[in-house]
Amino acid sequence: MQCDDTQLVDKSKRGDMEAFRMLIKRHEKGVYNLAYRMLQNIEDAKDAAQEIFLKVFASLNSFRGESSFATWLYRIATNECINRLKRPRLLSLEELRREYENERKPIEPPQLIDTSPLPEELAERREIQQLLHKAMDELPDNYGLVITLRHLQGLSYSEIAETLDLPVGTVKTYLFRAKKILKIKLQRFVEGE
Amino acid sequence: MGHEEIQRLLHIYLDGMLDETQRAEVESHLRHCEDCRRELDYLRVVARGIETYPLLETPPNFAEDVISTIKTTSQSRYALKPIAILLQLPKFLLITITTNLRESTDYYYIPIVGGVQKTKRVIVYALYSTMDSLKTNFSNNFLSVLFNVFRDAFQDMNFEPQEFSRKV
Repeated sequence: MQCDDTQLVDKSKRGDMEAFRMLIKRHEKGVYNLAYRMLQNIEDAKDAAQEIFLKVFASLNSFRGESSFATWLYRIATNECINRLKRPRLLSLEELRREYENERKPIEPPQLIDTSPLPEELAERREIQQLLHKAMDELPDNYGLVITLRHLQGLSYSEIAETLDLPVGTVKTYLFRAKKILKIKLQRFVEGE
Repeated sequence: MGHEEIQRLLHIYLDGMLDETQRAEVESHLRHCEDCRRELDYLRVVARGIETYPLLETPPNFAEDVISTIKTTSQSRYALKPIAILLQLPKFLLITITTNLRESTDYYYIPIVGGVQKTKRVIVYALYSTMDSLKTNFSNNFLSVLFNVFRDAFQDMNFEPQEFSRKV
């Protein structure tokens, strides 16, 4: 039988490790990607995601179900990542080498296309998607975070507000601004300005 | 609602999160505003781009590794000698009160029986110092096991594990 998050949390609180494993399975991809979005490093994201689930397990008894489990989980996840970002981080030699090579790489000008009215298939064009994905990576932290929580983790506006301790209006504004940035980059690309 | 406000709502409209009244207003505006229709077209392409953003696959056995860490740390049961511990209590308290680390808001998660314990940096430091004093009361083996429990936190604080082992 398929259990929902609340049932799995209750079982985990009673020491059912299989239930907790299922909870992790259900949310690991979201948490891992959120950590990667915030920390921008695979190893750090993996380490943070593990730490997040350890903290979740240690704090299960304090979860009273006043918010959804996802909201509570992502609040722990964002706090953990924010704390990690505050710590000074040493780069490995490999990372230093990669950074050095990236800096030396010439910036390629965007390839212009001449489609004035927006055709349906534009959205499916590979270079358009790549442009938008790159633009998403470059969004300011807060904007990138709300986009991730809304569209990649599927949280509602109020859940995001609760997770980040922000008013719902601010969440909407961040989403609006984030999409505006993406839209402007897309528009410049399409219209060749 | 004016044109500007409608433009601000278009992304929420596309997201399906407007209430009935707002949705009707936006749709009515869209019927006669080419600018907004074009804006909506762009936002649709943006939405598709967001939707296709490639997500990373979780490392293999991620959940199992977390469970295994929890189980390993939960099984670490140590029978402490109560009197020796009590004798160290004043030192422990003195350190927690006097060290400037008490200002630190960093936390460490230390594995204990039944899970992990959120612990302030100052407490970890005081525990470390107290353990150092306790070394005469316990076997090397016991202390090295105990040290391993705190190892990550100590390393994070730039303590020298080798130095500690040598003292033991």
